[in-house]
Amino acid sequence: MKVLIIAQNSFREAIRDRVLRVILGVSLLVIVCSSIIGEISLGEELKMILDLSLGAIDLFGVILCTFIGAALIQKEIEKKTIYTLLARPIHRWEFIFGKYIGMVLTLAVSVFIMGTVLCVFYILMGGTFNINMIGAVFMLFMGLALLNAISILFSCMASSTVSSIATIAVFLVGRSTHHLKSMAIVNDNPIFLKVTMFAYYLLPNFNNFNFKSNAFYSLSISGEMYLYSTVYALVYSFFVLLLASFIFEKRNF
Amino acid sequence: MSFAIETKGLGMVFRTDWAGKKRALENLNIQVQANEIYGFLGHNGAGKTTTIKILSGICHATEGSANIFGVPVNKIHSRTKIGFLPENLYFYEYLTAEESLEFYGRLHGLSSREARSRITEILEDVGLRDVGKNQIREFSKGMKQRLGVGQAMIHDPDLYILDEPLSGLDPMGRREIRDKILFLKEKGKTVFFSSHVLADVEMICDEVTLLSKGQVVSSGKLEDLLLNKVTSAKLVATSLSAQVIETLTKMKVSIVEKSGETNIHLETEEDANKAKEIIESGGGKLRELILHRDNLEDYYIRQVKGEHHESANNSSK
Repeated sequence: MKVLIIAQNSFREAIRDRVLRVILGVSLLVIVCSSIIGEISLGEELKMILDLSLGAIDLFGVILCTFIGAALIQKEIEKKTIYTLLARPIHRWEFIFGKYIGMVLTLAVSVFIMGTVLCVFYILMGGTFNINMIGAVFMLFMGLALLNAISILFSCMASSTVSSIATIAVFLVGRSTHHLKSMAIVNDNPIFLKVTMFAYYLLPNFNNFNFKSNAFYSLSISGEMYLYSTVYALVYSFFVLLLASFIFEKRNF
Repeated sequence: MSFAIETKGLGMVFRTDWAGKKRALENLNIQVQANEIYGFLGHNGAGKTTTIKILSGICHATEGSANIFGVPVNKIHSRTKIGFLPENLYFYEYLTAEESLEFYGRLHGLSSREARSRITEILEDVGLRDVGKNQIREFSKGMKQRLGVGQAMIHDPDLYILDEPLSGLDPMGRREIRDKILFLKEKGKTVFFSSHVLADVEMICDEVTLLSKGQVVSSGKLEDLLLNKVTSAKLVATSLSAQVIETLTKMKVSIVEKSGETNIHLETEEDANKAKEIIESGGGKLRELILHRDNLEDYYIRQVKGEHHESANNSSK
């Protein structure tokens, strides 16, 4: 299957990229250094470590999507490696989905390493392992997989810089979509209500993947929550990638 | 029988910005026979790369049609028989030469095992056997170009489309590529390549198309285009009497005295033979007789100049 061949190549290329190693190295450093900040918060060291470490995984995952993911397609165009690919018997959608899967694999490995370091470090610092920590990391990963699809969509349309900025903007808006709903409720204007509700449902809701508080307070994440968030990420990503493929199909290089 | 490449009224208009458009190619009609070396010539911006990008599926033509062995270029199946070498080839720098070739081979449907056996053969063939496990970012430009040829050969295609394969190479590198093109023809393959290194094209091509400003200026077999016609002649003689020089001056010649020798420039072969007779019968000594025949470069410049004159005349009317 050509999608998987492209995915494998994309993964291999990304995993050897120095940028990935630097981002991953810094994120691991932040997780380990969280103990220093943890000491400042009297009696809450472990919660602080968990809070900062999950925040670091989230932040560095977003940075990965922004700097590697958003440049994924543009880099192929700018470096002209796309010429030797499109001249092969492959569909352009296979290229888009292949690049996406390759990047998701890269994210999976990065998040797995960061998550493992977090769990080991947390236990070494005297914490008790709870399954919700893994659940929260998994959900962050699903959110990053969706963000990665969005970054690829932008990468099909604009330069690496513009795609990176747009990806961050969508992520920030996607973390605040609940405000749109609140704004719609307090405003009486029916047009405003329709517009804000349309934006609420259209924009990706990254809060669906934010289960950090469940990890802090050892609150269990229900099976329904896992299912809903996973299906949401997969379906949303699929349609975003379809749109990206449609745009990419029309382009000349 | 279907041609290796056939285009009918092929045209391309690019959008430059929101409102602007730029024509890169107009009404291109070519037919490339199988097992032929076909040169696609033109200056920078003539439309060569645009045509090649359309043939290899990188660009979508806005007008006309193009087929590869009878299959329209918008079908991905048409690319199964193409080996493509783009101009200024870039690779995935962090992959090794072997990984890169395996990747391209598998995209053509080769199994990992088949790809690996082809890789050994190809690396040997392009002289990169010893560096197969090195990352491509360590390669020189010449090595990358050779790997570029290798990636085009990985699936043993019937048609090679090469964009400026000779540009930027030193004389040895150019010779290697020329020999490789001739070798492919010997193996029954078709080679379609663009170039502005006309001397190289003349050495190896069966047929050429000259392009300027997106339009075909001239097209055909090399021998038909050049006609082997003498376009100028030069005679070098010594010991010419004043009478002989006077007789020669009456002809359409230019005479230049240089280092005790007389250089006589004429326009036709007939005039050169006539001047030779005059010199010899007048007691002069003929040292050299050089007949200058049209080469591809002369022909190209004349064609393009002619086209410029024509367009200038049309615009002044």
